[in-house]
Amino acid sequence: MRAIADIATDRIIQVTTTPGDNELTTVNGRYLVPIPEGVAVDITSSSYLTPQDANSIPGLAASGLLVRYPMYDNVLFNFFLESSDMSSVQYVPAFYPAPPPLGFTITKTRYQAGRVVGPDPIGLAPNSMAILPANTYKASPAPGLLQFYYSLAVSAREFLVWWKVSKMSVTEDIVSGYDMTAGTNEPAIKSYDEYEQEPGDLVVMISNDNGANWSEVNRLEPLDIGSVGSDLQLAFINKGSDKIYLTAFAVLFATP
Amino acid sequence: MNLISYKDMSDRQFKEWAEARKKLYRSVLLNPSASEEQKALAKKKLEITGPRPK
Repeated sequence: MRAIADIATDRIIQVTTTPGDNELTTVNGRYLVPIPEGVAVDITSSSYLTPQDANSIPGLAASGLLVRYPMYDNVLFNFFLESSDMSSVQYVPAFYPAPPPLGFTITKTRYQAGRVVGPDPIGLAPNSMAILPANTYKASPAPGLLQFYYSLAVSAREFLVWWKVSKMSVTEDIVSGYDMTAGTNEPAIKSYDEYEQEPGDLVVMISNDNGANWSEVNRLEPLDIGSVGSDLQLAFINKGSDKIYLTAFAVLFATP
Repeated sequence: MNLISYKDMSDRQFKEWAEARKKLYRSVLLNPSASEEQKALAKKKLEITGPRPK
């Protein structure tokens, strides 16, 4: 299930089922807000996206995950809808893994995003956060890295992470008066590509001690780190050659 | 940071969450092969499924 909203007004204009992998959805002038699989959210004419409180669609979607996974009692979420959603993005990586299991040395974050600080408009557009493809042309290949930091009010050691990733494609805007293509007038079509949610090139790591120790986490698989901590770091690493868009994520955790 | 705890959920979602949690952890309490440590953890998890703190 997903809501489709108008990018100019943030109003919900459509609610649809989630299509299968590799099915395209045209998103010119609009954006998608994914609802996690298995979560039911009633969307009515009074539903709203922002502010993202407990009764907003993102809030209901995130708390719906708690209902699905009742061993957790808190959920933090990011659908990249408001400027404040950018405040958790890290410029400087805390993530410096030893080569295995990634085979990369990480020295920089590599992602696509709006500005975190500065005058408005801040530059955040929904569905536009992306983890860049790996740069393999360097002597020391650099994967894409998008990293977040949250200071939790409580310490936690048990986590479960949900995310929604996608690919985007944009066709060429063609107006032709030449030869066989004369009269062609095609707009650029931006398409949201429903995509495998655990692509082999995507690695997600989590830390609850501000990056001192990292654990790889799989989508919707419970993880017990073993020691409690409140400085949460979440790293999305792209080892592949395609840009991966991160539409949303949620982290469920349990207070000990 | 967008954070929701069980205290912030709507009444309907809290009820659903609490029921699911009770079902999950009561099964641990009723499991004869569960260890005392597991049962103590389950009891602790069930403590917050009662009336919601205001």
